[in-house]
Amino acid sequence: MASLKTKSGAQPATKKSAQALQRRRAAVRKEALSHALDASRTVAARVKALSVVDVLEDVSVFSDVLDVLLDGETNPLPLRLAALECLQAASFREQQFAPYRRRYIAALRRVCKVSDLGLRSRVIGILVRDGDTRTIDQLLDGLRDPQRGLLPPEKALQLLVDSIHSGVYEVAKTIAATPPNQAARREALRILGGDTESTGYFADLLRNKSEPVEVRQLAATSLNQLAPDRLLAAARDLAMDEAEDTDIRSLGLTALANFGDLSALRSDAALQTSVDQLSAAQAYDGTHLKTAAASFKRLCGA
Amino acid sequence: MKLEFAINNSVDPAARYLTWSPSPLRLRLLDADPTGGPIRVTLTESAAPGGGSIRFSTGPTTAATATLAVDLPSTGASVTVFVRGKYGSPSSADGDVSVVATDAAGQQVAKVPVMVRIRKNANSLTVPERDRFVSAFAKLNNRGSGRFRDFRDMHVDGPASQQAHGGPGFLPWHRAYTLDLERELQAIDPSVALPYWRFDQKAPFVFTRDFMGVPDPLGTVQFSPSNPLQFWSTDGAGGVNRTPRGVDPAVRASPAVANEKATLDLGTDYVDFIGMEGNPHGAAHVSYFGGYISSIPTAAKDPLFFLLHCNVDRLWAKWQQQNGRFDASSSPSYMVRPGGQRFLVGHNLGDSMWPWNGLTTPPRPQTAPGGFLADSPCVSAPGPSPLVRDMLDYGGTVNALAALGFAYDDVQ
Repeated sequence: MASLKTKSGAQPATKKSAQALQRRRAAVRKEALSHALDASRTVAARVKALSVVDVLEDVSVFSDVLDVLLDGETNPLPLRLAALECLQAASFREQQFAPYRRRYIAALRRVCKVSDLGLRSRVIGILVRDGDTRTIDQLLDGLRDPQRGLLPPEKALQLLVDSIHSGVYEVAKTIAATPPNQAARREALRILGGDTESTGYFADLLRNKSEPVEVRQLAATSLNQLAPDRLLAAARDLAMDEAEDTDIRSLGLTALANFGDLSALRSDAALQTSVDQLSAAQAYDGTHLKTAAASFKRLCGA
Repeated sequence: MKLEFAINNSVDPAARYLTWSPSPLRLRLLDADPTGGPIRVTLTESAAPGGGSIRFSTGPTTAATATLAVDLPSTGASVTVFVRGKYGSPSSADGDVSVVATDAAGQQVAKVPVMVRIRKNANSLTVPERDRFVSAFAKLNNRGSGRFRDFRDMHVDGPASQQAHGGPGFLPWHRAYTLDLERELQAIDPSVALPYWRFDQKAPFVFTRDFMGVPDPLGTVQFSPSNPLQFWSTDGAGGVNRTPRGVDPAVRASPAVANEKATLDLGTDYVDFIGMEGNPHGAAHVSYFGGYISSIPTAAKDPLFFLLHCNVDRLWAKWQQQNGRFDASSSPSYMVRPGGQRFLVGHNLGDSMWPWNGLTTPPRPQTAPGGFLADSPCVSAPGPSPLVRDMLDYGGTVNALAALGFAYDDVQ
């Protein structure tokens, strides 16, 4: 290894030059903030300038960037999104961000009501992931009464995957039964993946050949959570069913290879023969099934 | 002639994993006439095409060579030399390179397969490397239960987040965190090393349905039916929320994320370099995607998070190597407050780190998921409950015993 026990492999910067560098950088950031706030500049230039700003440098910098996010009258949408990104990146510096958190959350709650769906969706997502119960309740209300919905149902459901509780299950069951669209149904099913009362439902979905592959994949994931033994039993049947969709057969083999009992799989002569035949069949070249068969042989081959 | 090899102080094959740092290689004769003189063997490598390559040395700091002659006492006493991966030639499969011992007549007398196991750019993995990694990761996830649940629960908001973020301990904590996860992966498949996502470059191989997945327009990640990550679950729900934000990392790098050069140029002292927590680290979390990875309390629900943090750690390792910052007693290597003041507990050099210390009294969080940091059959460091200082000398540069058992493909 290079520079084994030297104190410094690079040219050591003197304290003075390091301080000078930091002063120059601070000046660059200050200028960047000025450009970002300058309405005479192009939106692209202002967005680029914001990426250099450190909102935690000073409370006034934080306030300025927060105001960019909040002010929809004078600030174009791309700039508001860039401001949000700047603030959100800073939130990862937990200790330094702590004094600003309350103002940040308050600002996000105000932006929840903006007309632009993209911005609205982003801030609601941040609030939900932060555990903001007010926002979570608003999303649930919107699912029960679409007139009050802040977001399309599929998006609201997707965000609620992070806040699962009994109230969410009830709404998800209703939507899964009578979905406004397929995406909403899918997200409702994701939520129900943790509901033990839905185990039989997912077992049936997984074997239902009339369901789309995406839904059956989701059913497999949910069944793996709720009743892994039932998934593995189904996976074997699916993998060996020559009348089954090849993607579903792949899913079955993948489940077995990664979550099945190794010694049982190795001694399962019928399954091993089936996989050998799959591996040899040119008809499946280039398919996920061939890939799954190869992985199965690598992990569980007899 | 019968030889016994012990690599990393163990005859266990589980210990036969090398990095760029020298590992002890102990040899002894098992069947020589004890009244005879020493017997010379020559160590070389036998390497598969495109596989790893190794070098030998008499000591940890002496020059490494492709062959090494070793005189073994006929009494059976052991001799210790050193073996390491040849920089730039990592393995691509377990056992793709072997230590070979030949006698004076050039006859092979022993051969032991090893692996130069190195953390690589996720975008450059071979298909088998990728597949082994996702398989091990899916097994570790195990429906969101078991050991992965602890990793998810370590990276949450509040006091737990303060242990890991916003202070100088940010880098050591995440080094311990990713190391712990990597060792758990290696307990499943020892050929696996955690790959890194170079978030300042496009990564078309990473963002496919066969690897880290591709989000649909809603932001729900889609995996191929042969990808075991399709079964990924956390907190009782399957799947990953990862909403596209306009810059597709498969196609281009986000201009908002500081590139490697800019990151390494932050400064030669840790007090300046730690600013990378904001950018590129924070920027990488939020510039490409919304969803799980863009918020601290949910980031660890996305498997991509661990590849992101592997790159953060790689940048630190590269900065350390560039500036010689491995020695915790050297002030530019870390941050010390003047006048005896201290940072929040968990961020000072001599502090133990939550959750591996099991401490749950304030300001530490009220629970400590996961127990001790996983051990390794290859190295003894950093121990089950590491201190912040234990995470600096990851390659054993200052103290060979401090090596943590990992290295990066582009950091010597």
